[in-house]
Amino acid sequence: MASWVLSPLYGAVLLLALVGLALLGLAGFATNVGAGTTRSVTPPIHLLVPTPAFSGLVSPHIEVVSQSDYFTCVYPQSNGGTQMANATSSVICESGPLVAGSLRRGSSAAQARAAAEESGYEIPPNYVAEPANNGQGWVFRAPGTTGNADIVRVAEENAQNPTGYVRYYNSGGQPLNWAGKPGPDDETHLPLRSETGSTEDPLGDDFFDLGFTATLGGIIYE
Amino acid sequence: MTPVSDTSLFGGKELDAVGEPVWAITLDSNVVIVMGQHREHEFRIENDITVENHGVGSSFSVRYDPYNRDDPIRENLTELAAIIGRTVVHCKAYVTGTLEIVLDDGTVLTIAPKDKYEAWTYTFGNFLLSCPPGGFESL
Repeated sequence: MASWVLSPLYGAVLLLALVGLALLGLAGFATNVGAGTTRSVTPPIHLLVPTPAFSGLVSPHIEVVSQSDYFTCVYPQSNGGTQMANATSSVICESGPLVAGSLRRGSSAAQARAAAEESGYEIPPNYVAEPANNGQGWVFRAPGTTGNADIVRVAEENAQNPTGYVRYYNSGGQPLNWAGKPGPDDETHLPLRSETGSTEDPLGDDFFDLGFTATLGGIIYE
Repeated sequence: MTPVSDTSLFGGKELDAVGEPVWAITLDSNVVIVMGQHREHEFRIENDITVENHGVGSSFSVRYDPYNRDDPIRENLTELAAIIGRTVVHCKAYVTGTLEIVLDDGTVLTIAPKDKYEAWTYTFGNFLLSCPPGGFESL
């Protein structure tokens, strides 16, 4: 009996198992995989446990995700209605898994916001989300506004655009490029998956503080 | 009487700009066609516009690309201005992504979808319909 308890092998197994259980408890692992009612939004941190000798006894890696990274599932909603852009409690779990930089069909507003921000595109926290009328993404706008001025649109992926994209508009309804200026198509469709992998805000922190005015300096026929 | 749904059209019906006059055409980074006396309907066009009028036998293409660094493109914009004051009799967004605007003088404006980018966006209040890359059917 005493030799069993003191065995270095079993002692190590017991220690690792206890550490693993403690970490799983902290991460709410049971809730995550048990009822399928929560979902991680940010890429989880992978804590690698070097346990080659105990393969099969302890999971080769443990996902450590803070509780704040979970969204609560809601039932899929119809295309009508709005939800707050920062409604972190309204992920539709039936939609595809959230992958940094991409946005699959049937996304929720929170997933669209997260996908945009994972790719480095800021959406003001007070912006209200509306389902895109074309059924392929979300429109984020300042509360109480109408039209296409000062909005941010997040488009889901489709066959032609496999990552999805973000479009920013100034107060004149012009689509903007990464520098916050009007530009050609290829510059104003901002891909959700950064080719460089950079997570820096391509628009800069001051983008929404610059108070862009309408640059409708072109010709007007009336 | 309930209108018959046209399955070839996005949403099964024409856009709300039907009956509205063409009020203005604005050139900024795109061609923007504004309709309605209160400029409440806006079509932001990001692709070529084919303009046809079989009654008078005219046909031309409006091309506008001010960002082409070597040779900015501005073709037939003056000719396009002739639609100002005309009334929209049909305004169809096909599920294929093609936008077709028919005016009361028989002029037909057609904008095709683009493969990789949005070709046009229609805005009316909070209704904002953009043509996805490849059209509405591209899943």
